[in-house]
Amino acid sequence: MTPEGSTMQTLGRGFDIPVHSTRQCFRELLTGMSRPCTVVRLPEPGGIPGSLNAAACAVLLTLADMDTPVWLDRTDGHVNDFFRFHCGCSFIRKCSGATFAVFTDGKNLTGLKDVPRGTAEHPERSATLIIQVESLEKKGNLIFSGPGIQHRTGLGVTGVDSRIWACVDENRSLFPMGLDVILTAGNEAVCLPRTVRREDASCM
Amino acid sequence: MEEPMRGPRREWLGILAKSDPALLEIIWTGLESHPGFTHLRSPETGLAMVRGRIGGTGAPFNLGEMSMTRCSVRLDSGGIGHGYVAGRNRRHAELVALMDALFQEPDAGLRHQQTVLPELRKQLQSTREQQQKRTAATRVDFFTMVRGED
Repeated sequence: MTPEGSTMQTLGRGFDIPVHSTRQCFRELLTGMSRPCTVVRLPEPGGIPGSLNAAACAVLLTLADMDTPVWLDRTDGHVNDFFRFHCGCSFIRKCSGATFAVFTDGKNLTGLKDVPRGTAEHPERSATLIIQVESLEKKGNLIFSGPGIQHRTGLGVTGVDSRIWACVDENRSLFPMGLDVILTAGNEAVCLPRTVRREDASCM
Repeated sequence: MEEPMRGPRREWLGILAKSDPALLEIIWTGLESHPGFTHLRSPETGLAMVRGRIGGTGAPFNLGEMSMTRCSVRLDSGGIGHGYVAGRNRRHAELVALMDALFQEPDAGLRHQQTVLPELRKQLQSTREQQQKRTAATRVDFFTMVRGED
């Protein structure tokens, strides 16, 4: 309970047609994960709480439920209430137990090292990172290759902490453990699954 | 955690959920003013597992699933109401949510409770009595004659 009255009073709507939109969003995320670096457009929820952008909100509305503890890089009562109501998920204080780790500020990825990478026996117990950035572009100075990318593909991201690229590089040595990343800006998202490889742009 | 549900709200949610949807509709139509509202969660039907302590040990037992419909609304004034009813009547869940929100209004809430709840209580009471009467009419008293064992 907050002293200035229950934050429930500001609770917003989720998707207008939940069944339809969550399926559409899931389909888009599948496309994004199987074709890394593709910019996918996610359906927009009716109400977007506090510090989230539309795509991050859509991802959580689609994927989070009571079995997926979510960690947020800040304390935001609106976000907590929103997802507790619509998804039944819990928010935890330590990211080491999270299934989804949400960074509302992509420029500050403090805490990234504590996000679980899974274990050798259970690589699926890793967390999925949802990072809010300023913009995403199909073309850019970052070059990626790997399963789902025919040769090489470019990606332009602004407003992201460089520590994320160290994390993507680290995925190569950790495989099959590692982190799957969803970058979000506005209502768009780019998925970088743990199989993706960052190429040195100067070699191109 | 949310604050634990207080006594009166718990009671009126029970009464509203068990009341006849047709009567609720009549009462709703009869209200002097109808607040504007939006759905936080449109009426949706799902299943809930009913559990009970059935075995001799008192351990919970999954009795079976029942269909339930739930709905959440926000009035234009900002008040939020939730409705959960047994079955698949979407309008019933919506009406319960609306009444729940109305009853919680800071000023008019108590007045709404006093106009609506007695009537619903009366109806529930009479339904229960009718049911009991019908049941009583078919009552059979079993008895066993004592057999002589000699």
